[in-house]
Amino acid sequence: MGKIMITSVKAATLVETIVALVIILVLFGIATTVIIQTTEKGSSVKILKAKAILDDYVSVTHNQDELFDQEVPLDDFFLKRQVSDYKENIRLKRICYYIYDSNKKLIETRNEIFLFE
Amino acid sequence: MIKANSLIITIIISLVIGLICTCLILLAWFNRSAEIVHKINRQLGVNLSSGINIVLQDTAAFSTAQTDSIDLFDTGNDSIIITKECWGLFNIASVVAKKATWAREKNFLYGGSLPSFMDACIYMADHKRPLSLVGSVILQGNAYLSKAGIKPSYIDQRGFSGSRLLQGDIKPSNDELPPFCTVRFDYLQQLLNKCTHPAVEDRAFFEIPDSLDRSFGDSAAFISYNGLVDLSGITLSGHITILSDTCIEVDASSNLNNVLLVAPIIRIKSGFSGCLQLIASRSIQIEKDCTLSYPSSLVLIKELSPLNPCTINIDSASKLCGIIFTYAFPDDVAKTMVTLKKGAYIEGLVYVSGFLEMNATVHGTVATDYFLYRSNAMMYENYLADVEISRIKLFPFFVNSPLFTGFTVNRIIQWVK
Repeated sequence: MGKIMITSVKAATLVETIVALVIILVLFGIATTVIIQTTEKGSSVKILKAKAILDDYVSVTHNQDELFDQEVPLDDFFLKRQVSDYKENIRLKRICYYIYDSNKKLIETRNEIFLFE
Repeated sequence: MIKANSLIITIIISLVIGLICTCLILLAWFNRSAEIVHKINRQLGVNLSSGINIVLQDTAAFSTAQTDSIDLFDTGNDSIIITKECWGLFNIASVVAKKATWAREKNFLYGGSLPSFMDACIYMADHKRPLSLVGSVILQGNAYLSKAGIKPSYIDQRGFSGSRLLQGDIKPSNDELPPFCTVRFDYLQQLLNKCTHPAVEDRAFFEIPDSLDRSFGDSAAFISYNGLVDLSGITLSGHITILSDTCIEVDASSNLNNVLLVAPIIRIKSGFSGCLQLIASRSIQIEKDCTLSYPSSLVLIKELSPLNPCTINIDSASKLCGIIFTYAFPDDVAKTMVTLKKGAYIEGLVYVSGFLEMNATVHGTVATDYFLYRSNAMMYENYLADVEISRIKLFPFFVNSPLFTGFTVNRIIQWVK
């Protein structure tokens, strides 16, 4: 006489499956956001580079004998400088610096008051 | 039996993934916070330099403390507060840049660029007499002299032994010393008046502490005493003014930095080293082996009284880097007398309204009404013997006092606390 083996398989209920699916969806959403944010950090390397270029440009400006408006393309960026007298004082110059990326999107601006001797 | 507990497995996996996500989010948040702090700090730094530039371009004279609040770019986001006041022969400024709840502060001592007369090694007021040189005299730089000019001479059978009388050009001087700013001079006089008539709040009813370091961003510690003040074995630094109605003595054991001392008589004892500004009305004595580092100054303003002798003495082996300024009113018959002993060394400006007995080495400019030379019992007027005065050797970063008119821009002397 052969024996009949009876094995009981516990299946997940419908509720369990739906809850698991919801949790997976929420996690997927969070993970996607984090990944997008982290990916965006890639562009901050470009921003850092732009700031470094702007720093150099400001230093060069401070050592110039003459100050005037200027627009200069530099690497993948575009620099713009605007010079005006500060509160009608000809020795104090208000200098506005702008740096744009290759798509003409403004990355950073800087304002300073410089003593021009 | 196969368990199909998908919910538990999902929750465990989701917890692990959630933990990793939280870490990433926290990392991004900290990174962003650091970026914001860096950006604000950089903007504050730029605003601070802008504020400093505003201070440096303003050459207008003032005698009392001034505070200005400025919206830098009229946007309401970048504000600075500038406080400036006279500090002896120099000025002190405090610039605070503010943005939201953030603030950065810088305090500095500043003075004026060199006036035109300081392109020369000597400025001798034109009293219609020549300048006579004896022995080994080295004069490097231009010289403002009377129309009688400069000539070699003899004292005790000793003649001029140098190669050239003057290594520079001769320019005509006026019959008075180069002018100075009266507003600034009034401030110095007011300080001297405070010695004898101190304000009630300035009177000290306590001993000077053994150690006091006062920031220039804080209000000045004004300490006024009656009688002799003996500063020995103490350490004082910063925004501190000590006044006495009679005399202040500074011992070599004390350590003073950027402090202002005001009294009729001030005596610096042998071996002292520090940075001081001394303002007196009767005499200043600097004994042997003292070192007064830059920016130090000695100011002597004679009261209008012919009876009181009014002198500055700097003994041998003492060094002063800064400014000596004396003044006697034109109506006063007895002028001030400055004696620089042999072996003393001055770097900077010596401005003497009266007589200068000059035996020291000076790297900088000497402006005086008369030179005196003493040999045995004899006094010779407008004689220089065995001295070196070199304008060329003055260090290039020397900043003058805003007391003297004709400077075009202010310059920073020292960053202070």
